[in-house]
Amino acid sequence: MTSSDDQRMDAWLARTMAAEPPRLTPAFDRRLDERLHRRLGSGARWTLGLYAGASLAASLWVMRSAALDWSVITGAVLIPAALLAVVSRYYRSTIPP
Amino acid sequence: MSADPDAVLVARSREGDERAFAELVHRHRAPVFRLAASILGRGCLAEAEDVTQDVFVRVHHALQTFRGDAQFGSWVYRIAFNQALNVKARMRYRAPHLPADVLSAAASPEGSPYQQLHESRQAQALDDCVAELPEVYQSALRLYYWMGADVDEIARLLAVPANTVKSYLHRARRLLRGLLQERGHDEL
Repeated sequence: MTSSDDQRMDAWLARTMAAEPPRLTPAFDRRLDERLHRRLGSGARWTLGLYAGASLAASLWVMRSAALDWSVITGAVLIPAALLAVVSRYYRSTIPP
Repeated sequence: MSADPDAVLVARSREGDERAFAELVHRHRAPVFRLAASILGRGCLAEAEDVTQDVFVRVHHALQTFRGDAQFGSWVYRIAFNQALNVKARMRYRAPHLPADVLSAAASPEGSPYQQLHESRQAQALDDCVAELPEVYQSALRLYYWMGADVDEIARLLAVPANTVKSYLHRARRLLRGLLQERGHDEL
């Protein structure tokens, strides 16, 4: 491509692509503020903790009732927990240092 | 010599000063949004705003791990670039969405209907061809021609030297010309 071709292309692109530059909507700051402060209250954290504890206890009781070996039960509990940890770690690693 | 204002705000944010973080957002939200829009394209401004939100939420969570090796702005723009690419990859198989205001902005109020049709076909061909370019070329082209950013601003956003941006733009124009000619737009 010669220099004059490049200049012609430059002028054509400037004409064809020119448009109003995009702008954030006025609700941007409010939405971001809501997302940043969307945290669980202490009541919700307690409820969630109790639910997790009760679920674990119920799972253990069911698995023991089914006469599963303790090594199987330990695997059934620890493998999903390890997967969760790996996924969470991967998510954090996508943020550059 | 005065301290980097971003570094001061980052230090205050790490100590829990929410106003300092709000100031960081205020300083960088527009460039992050422009960068995201330049990657996602004209029909995806709502998605670009969502990317901008996601970037600042991630930055807020990761501020304690920011080592300060790079400037805060470069760090945020790198997160934005990666996040926008991830969103674009997820959107690849979705039907493109062009809001009415984009379509009406593309239509010229002047000229004959034939000329308008010709221009709208050219603009559509251009959008299609730009989408075939490497991501950094697309981003540089949109920032330069659509948003009117200068070479230095594009260099900051893409974290490359200014000469590299000039080279991106030159190569992008050359590739685009070839792609458009393949589609029968020989007048370029």
